[in-house]
Amino acid sequence: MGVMLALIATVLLGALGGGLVTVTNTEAAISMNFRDAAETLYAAEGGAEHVVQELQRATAWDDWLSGAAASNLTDGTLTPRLPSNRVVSLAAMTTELQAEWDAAAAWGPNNPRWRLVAHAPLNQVIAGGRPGTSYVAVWVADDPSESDGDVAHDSNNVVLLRARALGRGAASRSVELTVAKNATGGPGSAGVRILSWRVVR
Amino acid sequence: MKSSAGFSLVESLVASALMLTVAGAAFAVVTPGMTGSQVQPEAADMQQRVRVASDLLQRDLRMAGAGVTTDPAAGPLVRFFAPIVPRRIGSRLPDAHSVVREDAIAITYASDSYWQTTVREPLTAGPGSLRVDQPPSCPIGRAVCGYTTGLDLLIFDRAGAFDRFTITSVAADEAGLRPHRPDPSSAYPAGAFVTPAETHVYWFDAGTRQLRHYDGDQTDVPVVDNVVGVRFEYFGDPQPPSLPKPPVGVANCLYDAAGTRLAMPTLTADGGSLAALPSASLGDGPWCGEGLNQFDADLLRVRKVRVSLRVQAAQAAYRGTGAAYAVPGAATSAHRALPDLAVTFDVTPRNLNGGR
Repeated sequence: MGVMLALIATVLLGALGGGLVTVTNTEAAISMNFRDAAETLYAAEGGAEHVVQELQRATAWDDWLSGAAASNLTDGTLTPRLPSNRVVSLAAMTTELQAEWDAAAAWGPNNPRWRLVAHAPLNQVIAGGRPGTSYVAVWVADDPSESDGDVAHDSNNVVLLRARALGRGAASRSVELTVAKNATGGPGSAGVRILSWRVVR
Repeated sequence: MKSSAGFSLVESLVASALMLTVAGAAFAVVTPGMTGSQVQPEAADMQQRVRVASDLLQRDLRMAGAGVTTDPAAGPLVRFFAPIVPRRIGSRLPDAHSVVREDAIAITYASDSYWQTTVREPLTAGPGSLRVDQPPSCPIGRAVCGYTTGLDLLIFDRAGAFDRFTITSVAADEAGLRPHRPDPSSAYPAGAFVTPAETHVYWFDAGTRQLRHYDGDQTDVPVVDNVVGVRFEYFGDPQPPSLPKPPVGVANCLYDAAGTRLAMPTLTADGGSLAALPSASLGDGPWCGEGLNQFDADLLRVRKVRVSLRVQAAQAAYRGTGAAYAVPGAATSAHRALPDLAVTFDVTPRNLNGGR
């Protein structure tokens, strides 16, 4: 009788323990995803800010749009290995982003042409950033609200900037900024201002 | 040789005592385990509800005030009106403009569309027809800047008036508009700004204990259940706002008709670079805008929002009594009681801080 009771108790406890472990693991996984998503958004912001600062110092934005200039933020490969150990193609990501905008094709010859200007792990963007947390890529394009018909020439001192960060697991976040050069920009002045900041959904 | 005798009394007593001891020990171990297995999913559910609410609020607060990207209105909406107001606005049950609710917030931002334009012919108050200019930011060859029926638009001017509309029809170069407010919408001059936009109103329904989301028009849905506390606090620029500046001849909350800036106090920064904006200061004027969409000029200062949320266990059986419980429950054991879960977080809307 005692043995039977002990066995029943063991089975019951085992089942309860198993259930608790499942619930706890699920909760831990959800929390981790939540944290990764938040970290990844901040990483995308960090990448965008880095390039905004470089644009502030740049004398000609046309060079960035044509590919003659790019960010100093680069790890030298277009097929980086992500923190999740997955290898991605930045060229394919550029094509995907371009296709997204070409699908609308709203502005004809002024449709923005996206150019990859920065790509590196987060710890290269932010001094002291933990290695292996996020990978950041940033693209620049001429804004669509001009009518010069040249996507490599910025005629209104406004460009678009898309930053995408890829974190651990499947975490991915993008932000899109519209950046304008101040008319009064010059040595010692603010240089650029951010006209809009959006999380891309 | 096999004995036919049964157990002696002593043997039976010893066996019974042993069995009871083993059974008692087994139950002593199993019972807390069972309690834990019942309480743990409820605790996880509370965490998940807080995550959902904070995620939604952070997302919309971060985007608050995102404006148009084409001149002459390029920049955040706060240069024209307050994109964050502490009350419910919209078509259904809007609060009066002087109401300040600590448990409600309305957030407005331009959608992620670059199809932005200006009003071509003056727009009369109330439902009306919209004709717009076709600047380069509009899609090529599409009437009314590519806007289609059902799209929500934001129209605003330099004086501080703003309205949201839904497009009810598009014919030739004209769009029919239905305003998102029960009182007549403002009249807008030619040159007023037009962009697709979103409004997100989060408000606490104390009756149903729900955090709800209202889109400012027809849709009002619960976001999170078993919420027992929601509080929004505001922090702003100590310096008085200098925008919106109306054209000469038009007065608003910041300027007289001659273009002279009206006096507003410089606040004292609390700790950091921002000043706390108490509720009383957000409902005492001066008033910008018109009708139900009026707003206190101090709302133009807002640069940071502090959100406090408190959720409770759904079942009364998992709530105890005391200060840790907004709504007392029936839990009799500390092992079964889940105290309310409270979180507080600050959000700095990115578009309101670009110039700082």
